[in-house]
Parts: sequence; structure tokens; C-alpha cells
Amino acid sequence: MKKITLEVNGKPYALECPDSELLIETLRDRLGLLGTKYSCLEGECGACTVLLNGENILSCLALSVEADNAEITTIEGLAKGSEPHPLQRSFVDKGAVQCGFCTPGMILAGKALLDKNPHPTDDEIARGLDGNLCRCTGYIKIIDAVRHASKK
Amino acid sequence: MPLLKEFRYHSPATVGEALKLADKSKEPLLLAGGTLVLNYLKRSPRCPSDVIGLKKIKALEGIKDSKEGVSVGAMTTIAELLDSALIKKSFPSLIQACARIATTPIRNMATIGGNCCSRFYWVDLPAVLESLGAKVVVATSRKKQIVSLRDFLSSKPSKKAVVTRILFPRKDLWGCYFRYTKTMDVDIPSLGLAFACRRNNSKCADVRIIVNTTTSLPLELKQTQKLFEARELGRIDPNQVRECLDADAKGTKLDEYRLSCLAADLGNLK
Amino acid sequence: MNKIKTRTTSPVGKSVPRIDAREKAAGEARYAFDLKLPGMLAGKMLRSPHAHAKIIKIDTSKAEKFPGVKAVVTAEDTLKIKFGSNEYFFPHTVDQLALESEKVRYIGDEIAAVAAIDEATAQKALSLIDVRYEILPAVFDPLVAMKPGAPQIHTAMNNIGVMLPLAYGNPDRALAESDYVREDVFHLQSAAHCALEPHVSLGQYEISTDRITLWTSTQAPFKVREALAKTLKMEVGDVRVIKLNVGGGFGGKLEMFPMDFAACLLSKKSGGFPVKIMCTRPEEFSFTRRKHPMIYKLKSGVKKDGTLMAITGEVIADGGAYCSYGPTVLAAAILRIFMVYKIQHFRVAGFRVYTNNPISGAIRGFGGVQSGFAVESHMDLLARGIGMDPIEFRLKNATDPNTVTVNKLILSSNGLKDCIKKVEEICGWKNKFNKRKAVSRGIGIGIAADVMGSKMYKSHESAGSVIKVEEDGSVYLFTGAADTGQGSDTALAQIAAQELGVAYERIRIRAADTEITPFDTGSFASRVTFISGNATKNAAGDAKQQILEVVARECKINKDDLDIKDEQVVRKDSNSLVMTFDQAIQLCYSFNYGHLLIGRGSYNPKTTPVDFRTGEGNVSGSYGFEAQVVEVEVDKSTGQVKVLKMYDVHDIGFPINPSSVEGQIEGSIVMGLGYTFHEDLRFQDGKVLNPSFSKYRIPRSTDIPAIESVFVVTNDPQGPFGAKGMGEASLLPTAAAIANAIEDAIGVRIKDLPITPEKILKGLKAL
Repeated sequence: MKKITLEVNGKPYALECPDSELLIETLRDRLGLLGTKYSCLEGECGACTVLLNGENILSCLALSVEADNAEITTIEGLAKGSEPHPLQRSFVDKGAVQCGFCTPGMILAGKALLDKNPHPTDDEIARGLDGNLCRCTGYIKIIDAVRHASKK
Repeated sequence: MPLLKEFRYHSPATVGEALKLADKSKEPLLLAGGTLVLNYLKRSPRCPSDVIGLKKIKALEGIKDSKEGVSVGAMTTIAELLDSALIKKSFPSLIQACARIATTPIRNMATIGGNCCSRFYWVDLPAVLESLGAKVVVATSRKKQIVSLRDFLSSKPSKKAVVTRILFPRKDLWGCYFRYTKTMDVDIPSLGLAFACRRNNSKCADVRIIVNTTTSLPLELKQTQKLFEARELGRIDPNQVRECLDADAKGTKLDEYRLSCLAADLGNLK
Repeated sequence: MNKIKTRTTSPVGKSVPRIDAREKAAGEARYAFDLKLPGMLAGKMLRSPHAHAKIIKIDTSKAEKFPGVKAVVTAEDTLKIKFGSNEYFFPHTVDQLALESEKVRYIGDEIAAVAAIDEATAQKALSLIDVRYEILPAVFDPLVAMKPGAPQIHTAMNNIGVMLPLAYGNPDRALAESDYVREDVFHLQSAAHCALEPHVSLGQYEISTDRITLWTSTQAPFKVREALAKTLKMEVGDVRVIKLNVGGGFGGKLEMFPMDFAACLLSKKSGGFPVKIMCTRPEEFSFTRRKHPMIYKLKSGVKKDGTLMAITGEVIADGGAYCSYGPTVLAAAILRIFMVYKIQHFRVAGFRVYTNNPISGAIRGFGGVQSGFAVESHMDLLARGIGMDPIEFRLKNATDPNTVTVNKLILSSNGLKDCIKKVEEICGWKNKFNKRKAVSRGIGIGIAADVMGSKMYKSHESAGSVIKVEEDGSVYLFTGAADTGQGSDTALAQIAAQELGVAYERIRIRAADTEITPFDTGSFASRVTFISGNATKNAAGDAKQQILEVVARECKINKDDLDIKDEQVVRKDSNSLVMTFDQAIQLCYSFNYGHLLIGRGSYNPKTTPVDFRTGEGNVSGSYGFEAQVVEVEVDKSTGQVKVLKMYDVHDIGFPINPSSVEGQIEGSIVMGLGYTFHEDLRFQDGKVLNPSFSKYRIPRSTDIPAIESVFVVTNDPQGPFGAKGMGEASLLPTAAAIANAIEDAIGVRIKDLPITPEKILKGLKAL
């Protein structure tokens, strides 16, 4: 067991967790942040995407002890109260949400991309989202939504 | 159910401490980016007693330029390489290879050291690093050695050695990297082709053609290298390229599909 | 109603945001996958490691005594009642037990289940169950399984679980009279659904009332309820199945699974603790359902002028260990031809063969993807054989509106020819077809049709809806329809709002809870907008009439002269305002009237049951049509095919939500691209070789070509506001259109999917 401190969505958490615990387990099972999904648990699907110090990473491939003192953003941390983040709003408006299972990871990957590159081309958007699988949409409306948010 | 079996985690601040921990523990595991090894641990019946995380070791960080060449810390992530102006300027083929590795979140996590140490036949970097004449700095509790990448990959893997840096002694090489997948853009490569040479008045010199295909040690295409030596790119007969490739392919797992890909891109090099 | 900022009145035909999109984008949407209940136990299934074996003995005593284990169940705890998915029309295909006790038929067959305080304990307990097997010879190739003397998997002769020999007219004479006859064989591989949310079942038994509640990730809660009630021998009313948000289905969540049954039974045996069983991704690939691998042998003839004379042949499907939806998949794979091509002389025999492979079942397209590739490739080859343009050939032979096919399908609205003409125009066919060579570019077409609902489930295919209008004008819609991400809840809310004459934002929806909502057969066969949409329209219409009756009495106007439009009660003739919708609701709930507003509606499509001995019957209330063109570029040195652009023209009746319609088309096409180029679920000795996203690759954001999509509006007379279903058809012609385009580009014909660089290079070498 290790004592660690995580800053999740702006709130500090002092936790004691097993050395071998993965970040996805800490977020879902200890902190109840169920917006972080998982589907494959092998780093292929991107449903467990979170932002670690602003970069999109896969929480099924990260040890919680290695996230000690890091800033983590999950999908629950994007909106300001009932005011959605511009990316959340454009995903809704542009029809980019179908079953919704990939949506949290997609939006976070989109945020990491736009934070680094505020005006991406469509190819750059596609590249930025290449770690996140979606089986419903064919990605076209998702790419639309990120492009739309980048123009705001 | 916890996804990983229990182990002790350590985060040493120096290479020396890491090596001491590795020496002491029953079943140590050195952890770089974790994208390959943590997945492996989820499925494997084996479990290390001690996982030694390398993230806090300053000596494994950073990209440095000096007269002796470029030195890249083993814990440099693929994303950091892609963002580095120095790498972009000096080693475009390394950038081409990095850009095609896995996916964005994996590139944010995976490291150059981990990629070189994983020894999966399909990882991208060994071929391109070898084409660029890269060397690795390997530290054990007894000594610190600089060895060629080929020698490192040919030697037995050790749980008690840390690759600290990747060195690029030469900055005068021009290179390019081609990568093929049978399915989609994001997949393990069915073939990776790294070409490097010095361009001497539009003629090639010191030509290196390395492919990663179905073996953990990248393959050097010696006959084909010879063909390109002292020749001008774009003025080499494609049939001759194919002949040399066929000669190089003897006894290897380069099949018709792969040879056809190699012939096409080597034949079109400009 | 003060919370609402936007008010979208007359929402049908508008791309309103999805009704569930905000909670999904916020990360607040809950799936069965996320559910935790107090006292919840972890359940695990014990599966057969053998492809074919007799069970000699099952000893669970050690597992039962293991600390932390709350219940272990085997077939001995069950009534051994079989279930199947085509019970009504194919009673002999009801062949699966939730827990097997005598024999296992594939690697993964369920034998026992355990519930324990945590997953690790349940996993350990599974290893303590002692099962002794007598290994039986197994068979994995359907062609071998059909031969006399092959290992017998069930009791069906030659392992042929389903046989559909369909014949009309005089095909032999028609072939003899043809100017050109050709025979082709096509091989289609298996594939996986890859819904991102894995299968999950959470069962809770209530001892005091002897009732069960199951939360499950399903496309068909009422079908799950029926199968659970049957196999547990409970009253339907004592079984409650609840669908929350579902993370994709694609046909893979269309029936009861043994884990649904086991979660309920374990809960009962443990004394009422809730039990949750989840599939891992490898289990999802290996033990749920898969696409039927099929072999199509087709021999057809045409006249010189392009008239299609006869289609004959054989379809052999590898069914795996149990029937699941196999009978209807096979039927759909053959009968679909009649929706697309005018044909009088026909003889195709279908065989669905048992093997010891995993169970083949329903998957988006329902046999249509396999049939689409074989038939559309074959038709292209016939056209080329007589030197006719493939589009001209299809226009000559495509079905027409208001016709009855030889097998009695009633095609009323039919925009197939309009789709073909439109796609020809937008892709610039005339300047591109047969014009390549230097750059290895090519263009190809495929056409398809689909049902909207299918009379294959039971005696009726009704759906129901209830509309409740509250005192403050809030509207609740209760529907049994199961939105699994396709957007049906949104479409139904739009239909309800449109018919009731109110803003879309007023509608709240409660769906797919078998105890609360009306019956609905589920999300399959592209049926929800058409059937549940009509039910919802009827319910909203009923509520509207009730409101108008009160207004008519109060204002002393004839009810039939009134209507509700854009949140206002108006006179029909002059559109003049009588009162606002809110005022009308206040009136209904006032001292004088006290009229509670509950509208009800149901809909049973006008179909006739299919007689599967003859293949005759009208399976669907309406039909949707589709034409697709693809442009490719082939790298002749590497064998890589690049899809440059897809053109899709779809007869969708009328788009209730254009953005959702596009989403379905784009999603279908991309799924079709995956199947065409690389999705290939591979097996060796009954074991899945690539049960992970790293080995079974599905398309990513970087693999997407440009897609130009055009709707053909035919305003179906049966459809709600003219709409048809359209969730699957765009997937059907994709593979053939690509294969046809590749032939146009480089002269190579690929008849076996997937189309790989190696096959292209091999084909080029053989030219």
C-alpha cells in the first residue's frame, strides 16, 4: 500500500492504494467517477482516456502510484456546473453522440488535442482521436464536432 | 477483481538506486512507459515481486545535443520526440517512425527506451535507430557501457540492467522510414523499412537499409545496401533493386508481399 | 416549463440534439455496466474448454465450501428447459440450455456459474469445480459437417439445422434460354459486433414476492423477459427486465444469454443478493455471438439485352453450436434478393449447418452483408459478361414501386431506381467508369434493400406507446423500444412532439422497462422508427384528441375543426389561435373537467407471415432501398487499396432526424469498410484466434474516407410521417461496391473477403 495524492478535477484526494492498482480502478472503484469507461483493458479502445497533466493517456495502462501528485481530469471535470464545456456542447449539437460509451474518452482526447493545437486540420483531428474506438458513428460527426469546437 | 497481481512498487531517484533495488529483489521488473509491459502482466500468470518505476530518474530524461552527437534519455516519450525541434531537424526518419507508432495516448505514454527493450518483432524504432547508427548506454551495478543497438538487441535480456540513453553519434545521415500494415493505419506493422545514407553530391554513401519484419532482431539488407552505395537516388534500375532484395531475402521471412512493398519504395526513393 | 430555453416546434425533419446526448457527453449516463447495488455479488460463468464432449460428472462441492462463495449453480438447479430465438416459425431450432449437463458443443458452452463476495473469489471457485469430460470428435468445417458420418452435434440429420430450399418458376428453362450464364463462388468470413459496452447481467431475486429483476445490456428486453420466464418457469409478470443506456448492440444483444439466466438463478440461490456477471473483451469475442461465415455458389443467366433470367445456387452457412437467430439470418440472406431484383425464375437452397464453432447469430445486416457481397459481385460479373454498364444493368432489373414479387413481398413505396439514378449522377459515373488504367483508379456500385421489421419473431409484431401529459404540460413518453445508441428514443420523442403539436423539448422518455413500458419486440430489423414510431404517433394522436375534446366542449367548437400546432390550439381552417397548449392543459386539469391525459397507441404492421416451406409471405410493412458507389485507388506494388470516396443514396422514406439518419449511414458504411478489408474473426479447432481489439482491428478515425450521402424521400404511406427504417441497409452493398471498383481499377476480381494486399498482389500476378 502507498499513500498518494491525486488532484482529480481540481479536488485533492489523499488515498492509500495498493502498489499494483491501475488508475482506472482508482477512478471508478474508489472515487466513483463512472464516466471513465473501459471496454478492452488493453489500451486499444480509449474508453478509459483521462487527462494526466493535460495529456490524454489510458487509465488502464497507468499505475495510480505513478500518478502521485499529478493533475487528472476526467469527463466529470469538464463542465462548469450545468454549463457544458464547448466540446461537450458541440458533441451534442453535431450528432457526435450515439451509444455514448466512447464519448467521454473522445471528448477528453479532443480536449488534449485542442489545448495543444487550437486550430487543427481534419487530418490532425483524426490523428488526435486515433486512440479512441467508436463503433457507432463512423467518426465523421465526431471529427465535425471537434472542428466545430475549435472554431469557438 | 484487481487487474494486476500484487507487487511492491519503487520509484528510485537515481540509476544507482534502481540497480540496487533490482539486485536485491527476487523478481524485479523495470518499468518505463508501461504500455507494453503492464498489458503483458494483466494476462501473464507470472508476476514480478518488485516493479521499479524509472519515471523519477532525471538522468533518463531530456534530449541533448553536443559535438559527440545527440543523446536522448531512455524515458523520453514518443510524443516528446515528435515535439522536439532537434529531432525533427536531425533525424526525419525517426520522426516518420514515431508518428506511426500506435495511437496518440500510447505515444504520450510509451518511451524510446521501452520500445528498444521490448524485443517484440513488430516495434518500429529498432530498425530506424539502427539505420541511423544509434548506440545505447547500458548501466549495470558494476559498469556503464556504450554498445551498438545491434549488439544490445543480440545480447540476452537482463532484468538488472538499465538502458539510460540512446546516442546518435552521427548527424550527417539522411534517412526515411516506410511502414506497411495489412489492415489499417493503426496496427502493428507487417513491415518497416528504414533507409539512411550520407548524401555526397547527390550520391549515396554509408548506405544502411534495415527492415523489421518477423524477427526481434532487425534485418540488414546487405546486397541492396551495396547496390545503393555511391549511386544517385532515382537513377537505380528497379529490376536490379528487386534482384538484390531477392538475394537478401534468402533464408529470411521476407515473402512476396513484403518484397513487393520493399521494391516499390526503394525503387522510388528520391 | 420554465427551464426550457429552446423550443423546437414541428421537430420532425429537424436535426434536433439527441434526447440523451447531454448526459452522455457529461459522463453522467449510466449503463448496466456501471451499476452497483448494495450487497452485490460477483458472478462468473464456467465454460467448456472442449469443442465437443460428453459431460461425465460435475462436482461443485469444493467450490461451494470455498470461503466467500455464496452460490454455485449447474443444470441440476434448473428445469432444463431449452430456449431459442426463432421459436414461433422454427420450433425445432430451440436447441440451447442455459446450463448444459450432458454435452458441450463449443469452446465456451456454459456448464455452471458461481456467485461470490468478489470477482477473485468467484474466479478461484470456478477452478474448484471438477468437471469430467469424455472428449468427442469435433467438426469445424460446415462442408465436412454436412457429410454422412460426420460427428453428430445435435439430432439434425447431417448436422443441417435449418434447410431452406426455395424455388419459383422454371429456372432450368430460363437458364437454357439465357444468352450468357455464369457461375461464381464467394466466401464470406466471420466477424464480431464489437459493441464497446460488453455484455453484462445484473440479476436480483426477491424472495418475499418470488420475483426477479434483471438489468442487462440488451436490444430486446421483452424477448429476454420471455426467455427468462420460460426457462425459469415463472410468470412473465414476475420477471422484470430493465434496459439502461446500452453501449451499442449491432445484433449481438438480441436474445437472452446464459449469463442473464445465471445471474437471476444465482441471486435466487444465494438468498436474494444481487449478482452481476460481466463479459471481458476476450469473452465478448469468443462466447457471445458472431457473424455466420457463408459460402455462396451462384449460377445465373441473362439475355443479351441485360434481362436477368434466372438465379440459382446454394448458400451454406456455418452455424456453430446452436441455432440462435440462424434460421432467420439464412432466410434473410436469400429472400433479400427479391426486394432488389425483378426475378421470376429462382432456385436457391440454403443450409445452416451445425459445427463445433462458437454460435453464429444476428449481426447488423442479418445475412444481408454476406448476401450483398455475393449477389452484387455476381451481378456485376453478369453485366460485364455481356458488356453492359453495371448501372444500366441494375436499372434494367431493379424492382419497381407498387409491385408484388414472385414470393409475395408487397413493395409499395420503392425508390430503388431513383437511388441508382441519383448515385450515378452525383458520382459522375459516366466520366469515371471503365476510364482508368494509368492511375489504377476504379469505380463500382452496389445496391441493396432492407426490411423495417420482420414477421419472424412471433404471431404479432406490435409495439405500444403511452403518452402522459402532466398538469404543467410536461409530456412523458413510455415506450418499450430499446435505444442502444441508434437514436430511436430521440426519433420517438420527435414523433410524439410533432403529433401532439408541442415542442420537442417538452418530451421526457421512459423506455424499455418491461414492468412500466408497453410491449415492444426490440431493436432489430431496422424496425423501431417504423413500428414503434407508428405506435408513438398513435399514442400522441390519442392524447391530442383528448385535449381537443376538452377545448371543444369549453369553447363550443366542433372538435374536428381544431388542431394543435406549434404549442397552440388552433382552428384548422384559419389557423387562428384558440388557446395556448399550456392553457389547454390547465383547462383539462381544471375543477370543471379533471381530465387526466393519458394517450395510448399501438401498431402492428400490415404483413403476412412467411411460409418457410415456400418462402412466400410479406415479411415487412415496408421496404427501404439503397445504392452505393465507391471510388478506389489501388497501389499495384503494395496491394494497398485506398477508398477515395463513397457515395450513398438511400430511400429513407422521410428523415425524422436527418443528423441521426446520416449517423446511421456513416456508421454502417464504416462498419462495412472494416468487414471488407480486415475484420476477420478467425478460428482454429473451434477456438477464436484473435479475441482482442489488438488482433481484431476495427476502423479508427484515421481510416475514414469522404462520404457523400443523399436521401431519396419517398414518403412511405405506412411510415410515421413517411419515414422508413434505415439502420442497416448502407452496410450491405459496401463490400461488393469495393470489389467491383477494384476490378474496374486493375482488372482483378476478389471473391473472398476480406480484401487483403496479398490477395490483390496474387490477383495481379495471375492476370
